[in-house]
Amino acid sequence: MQRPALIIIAVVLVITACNVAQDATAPQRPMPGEPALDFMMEDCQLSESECMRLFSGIEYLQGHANQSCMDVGNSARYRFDAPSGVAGYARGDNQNTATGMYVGMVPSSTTYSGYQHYNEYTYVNDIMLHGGFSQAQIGSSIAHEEIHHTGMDGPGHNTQVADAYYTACMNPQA
Amino acid sequence: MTINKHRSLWYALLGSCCLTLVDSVPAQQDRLPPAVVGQMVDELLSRVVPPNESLSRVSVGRRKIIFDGERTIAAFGYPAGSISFTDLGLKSAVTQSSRAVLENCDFWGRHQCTRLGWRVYVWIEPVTVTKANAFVRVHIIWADRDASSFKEGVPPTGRAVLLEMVKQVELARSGMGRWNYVKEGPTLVS
Repeated sequence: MQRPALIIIAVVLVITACNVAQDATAPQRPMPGEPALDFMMEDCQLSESECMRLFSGIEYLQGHANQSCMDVGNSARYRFDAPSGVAGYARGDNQNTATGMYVGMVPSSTTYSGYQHYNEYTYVNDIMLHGGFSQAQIGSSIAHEEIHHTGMDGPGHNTQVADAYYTACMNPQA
Repeated sequence: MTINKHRSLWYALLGSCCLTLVDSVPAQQDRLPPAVVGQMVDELLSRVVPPNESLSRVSVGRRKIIFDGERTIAAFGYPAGSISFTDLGLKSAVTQSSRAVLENCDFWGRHQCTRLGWRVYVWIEPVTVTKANAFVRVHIIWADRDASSFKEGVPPTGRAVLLEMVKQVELARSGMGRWNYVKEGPTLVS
């Protein structure tokens, strides 16, 4: 066989081998939004000062005159103090949102809203932590997210219940 | 003579393999053409922001979608002004918008959010894009207006709480080059 033909055959074989190797299925990557594993054994996966800002909001709720706000504050306190990896507060990896905090939700056939939380984490964006918000605003925002965790919102994305908690908890004497 | 011929063969093999590997590197740095971004946007809008989806008791169909093409185009790597909204070639029934409509809105209900009104503001950002798969985030933003009733053509008044859902979507590219919806991850809800 002529040498040019041999070279061409060899090149084709190499190209084929390289493409097969490259097309091998890559490992399935997790969807964005899944919390990173907490190797630091801290329940609040933010800086110390940021965690204290969140904690001040939780304390505000726990000391509220409105029993519902107090109850949701206790729920938030559990989340804050929960063992690592079970529940907590983490920094949002999606800082492009227009809002301060969020919860990951997935469809559910058992909750009134048709959604349930994906995990026990509330994700907090930098704007919430460094936007100059008051203890009442932070606490009321935390209360709003706690309602998402319970699945108590209205059908579809009706956040009326969560909004009602925010409004009620903003007034410490209500 | 024999050594030179073998050397030529090895150089040919080495060069071919290198060229092939370069061509096979996931194209994370390559921008998708505007029309392809537009096709992706149409697919996402139809699958994850359908007209019958209810947002705080009012459907997307009644609210109407305003789409921030400029913000989306920038997220897909195009410098400002390099391509226009019409270059996307969208087939979806959306109106062009910008983030300026959110200027008097916030999550804490401190403003009336008059520019956004009842409408749904949507923009899309890629998280990762390869030749075969894409992970994107679809930002869906609207104002919850407590007990105010929706009336067609009547601007809302009163307190407005800005809410957002971020739908995380995986797309796959078909053999014909079309991007198709595969599945969604957790929706991030404010």
